[in-house]
Amino acid sequence: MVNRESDKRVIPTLLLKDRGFYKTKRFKNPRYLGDPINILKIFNEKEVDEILILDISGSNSAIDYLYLKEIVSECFMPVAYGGNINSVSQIKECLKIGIEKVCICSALFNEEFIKSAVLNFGSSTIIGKIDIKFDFFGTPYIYTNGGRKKVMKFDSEVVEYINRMELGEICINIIDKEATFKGLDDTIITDFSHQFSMPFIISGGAINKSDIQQALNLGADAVAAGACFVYQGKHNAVLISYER
Amino acid sequence: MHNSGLIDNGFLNQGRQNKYKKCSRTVMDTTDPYITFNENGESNHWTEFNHFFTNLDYEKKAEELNVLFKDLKLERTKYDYDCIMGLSGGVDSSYLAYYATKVLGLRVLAVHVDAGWNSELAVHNIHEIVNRLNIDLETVVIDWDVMRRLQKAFVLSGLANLDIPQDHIFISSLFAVARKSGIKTILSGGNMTSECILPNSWGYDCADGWHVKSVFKNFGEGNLKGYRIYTPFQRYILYPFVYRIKSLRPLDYIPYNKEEAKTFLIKELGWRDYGGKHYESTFTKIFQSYYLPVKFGFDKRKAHLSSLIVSGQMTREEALKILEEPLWNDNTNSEINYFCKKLNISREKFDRILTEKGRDYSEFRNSENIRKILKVVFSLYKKFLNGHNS
Amino acid sequence: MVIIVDYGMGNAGSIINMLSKLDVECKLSNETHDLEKARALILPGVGSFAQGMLRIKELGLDHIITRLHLNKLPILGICLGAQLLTESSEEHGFNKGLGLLKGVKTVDLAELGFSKLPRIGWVNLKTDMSESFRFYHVHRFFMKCSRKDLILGITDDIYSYPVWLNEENVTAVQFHPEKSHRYGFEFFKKWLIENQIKE
Repeated sequence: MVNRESDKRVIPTLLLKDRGFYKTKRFKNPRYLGDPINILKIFNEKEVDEILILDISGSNSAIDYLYLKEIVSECFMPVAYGGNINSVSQIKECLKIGIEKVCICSALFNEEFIKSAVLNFGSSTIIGKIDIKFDFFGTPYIYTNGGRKKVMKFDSEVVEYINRMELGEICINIIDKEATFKGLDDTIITDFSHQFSMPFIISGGAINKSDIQQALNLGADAVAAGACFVYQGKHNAVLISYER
Repeated sequence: MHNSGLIDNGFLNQGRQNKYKKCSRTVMDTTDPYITFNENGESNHWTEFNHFFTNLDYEKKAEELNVLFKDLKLERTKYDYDCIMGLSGGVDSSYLAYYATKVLGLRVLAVHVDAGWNSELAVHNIHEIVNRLNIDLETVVIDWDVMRRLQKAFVLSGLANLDIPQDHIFISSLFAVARKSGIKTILSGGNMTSECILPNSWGYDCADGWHVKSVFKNFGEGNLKGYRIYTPFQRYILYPFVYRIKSLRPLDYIPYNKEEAKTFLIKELGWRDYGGKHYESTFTKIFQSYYLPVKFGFDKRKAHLSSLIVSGQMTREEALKILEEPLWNDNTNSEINYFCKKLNISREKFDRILTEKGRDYSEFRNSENIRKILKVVFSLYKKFLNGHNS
Repeated sequence: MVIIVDYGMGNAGSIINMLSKLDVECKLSNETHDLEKARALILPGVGSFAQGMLRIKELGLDHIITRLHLNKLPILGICLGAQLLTESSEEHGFNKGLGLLKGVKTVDLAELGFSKLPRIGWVNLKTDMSESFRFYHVHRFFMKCSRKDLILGITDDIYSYPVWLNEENVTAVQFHPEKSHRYGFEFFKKWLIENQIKE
């Protein structure tokens, strides 16, 4: 039996860099959206279900906890944060400042780390995120480091690993669909959502409310989206919107 | 005041003058240090604008409006847009969006300038307006770091018009977009009926780029890279004569009634009211409802309401009743904390600034003299033309 | 001063933020003198029951909390914190809780028929109160309550179960009010007023 309708979530994704929020397209060409504090305040007042903040500063930058604390303090809904999280101490610091859960991408296949994270903080605190690009034949491959490093094929072995790790949630993000408004990937939803033993979040290409609703109806437990909540109209004007 | 942490030094109702006096027709009073009264107790504000509105012929104005825009449409047939307009989410620009597109039938490119202080309501209203009226939107997002440093500089300067950084960037951005997209006409929601009265002492001209630079030079950190300055050269020569971009205020040509406009917007366009003028920006809300009244004793509501009185949209009794409502509520303290947090000023420092003596705009470099000279030159030129023609 | 009990699990940050916005003085602490002088205690918590009880016992907090409870100090348990106030939990085997809520045991949601766990998301509540509530939930176990008089709110669901319990000075909620924006503020206001911490 599937969980009730009210459990389904719609999650705006915001990319953080140099104390600003940005929007990329297919992980490229970051476009400035504005001050994170005000943007989060607006989403808070729009009573969003949840927020996902991903730090895209790059693998060498340390997490600015002081600043993160400042922006998270405007959020009275669950905040998930990700971007080069690869140690237990980082997760501890994040939770201290009010972040509800952490999103692990590049370090997801570091089995020891994941096991330790789940043990220390509980599975509901750990979200796994997998960025996917399809090759010419339509085979999905996992990429890390901002979509630059091809790591392995995305297949049932990966699913089995994720299930074994007992993560709280799993998010599949289709890189080539990001900010294209081409629609969420139905096939990935129908093929994989029921294979995972934890809630499944689809991301990449969301167009509007009805597209999101369709994805949720097809079996996704949640949808994460960026462009459709921060862009308006044919000129992609930066304007925050959110409808439950 | 039961609100914790808020300062009330009593300036609000008394101002700094020794003898308090209120206009017998409007609600302006001696908190405007340059106000004068005639033998009937009527203020100079009333006298000036009563004359203006009594002599206003709306039929003539409607004709002028028609001519203006008929020509415009003809000129722009081979372009995508007839004109651009600034959209803030407030009642004036929202109503103008409707009027320009549905009544005047213009193809409008709406431009919203995001200075980092949008309230959720503003964003909601803009969304509804552009979606329901099918208007194309562009936004200009100002780099928050430079915006913050400039606004902080103004707060530290102790000047009355803290809103100059926001208002200035709205103007400069709008002209820049117009120039970039080859559009010659900018529509503004400015209108006499609710804005005619505004004492100079309550806030200096926001379009003066020299003034902005001077304040930043004295109180700002770093540089102004990323903040577009609207220079006197652009204002008086480049835009009007080289690029031939002009700014029009259509709401001045029609009997624009604010309350009716609000009702219409709420009923037909999903618009939501946020209670105060310009409260679509959280910065402006704190600036007008707390900073100005506490530091200078200016309550800008008096100016707005007096404008509505003299243009016949409100009675003096109604205005007095509105003024009885407090400027502060249970949220004000936390909104002030948000204000300080965003600007990176400690609450203690901000409270201290509020009790210090304010500065006058004339203490900083400004282009007011150029403006005065040009005014004289222009009126002489007009006289010359008239003399020549008679 | 409201004390949020610091036993190293669960993030107090959001609770502190929300209470600060409500102008309530609060502090994160596990020091005896702080707890004893507290106006009320909040027990947050995210993670496993067994580890939670272990940390609490290590810090001697179990004795202090029990003692303060006997003195009728208002205590609010949130999520894992709420579960710790119950008699026991079956997570990772049998574990005893603080036992402040008699007749309440922490039990696996799978028992009710949930397939995908933990349960993560916003859930509407059914209560006898005039306001309507929905809160953010994230949990795998729930508080099974045999005494109906303790139940203030249940999930508005096919698999309805209690999420808001109260017995005199003890309130236990499975959801996260500090993550539930408007509804969370309303919840805290209610709790603060009912326990006379705020007017």
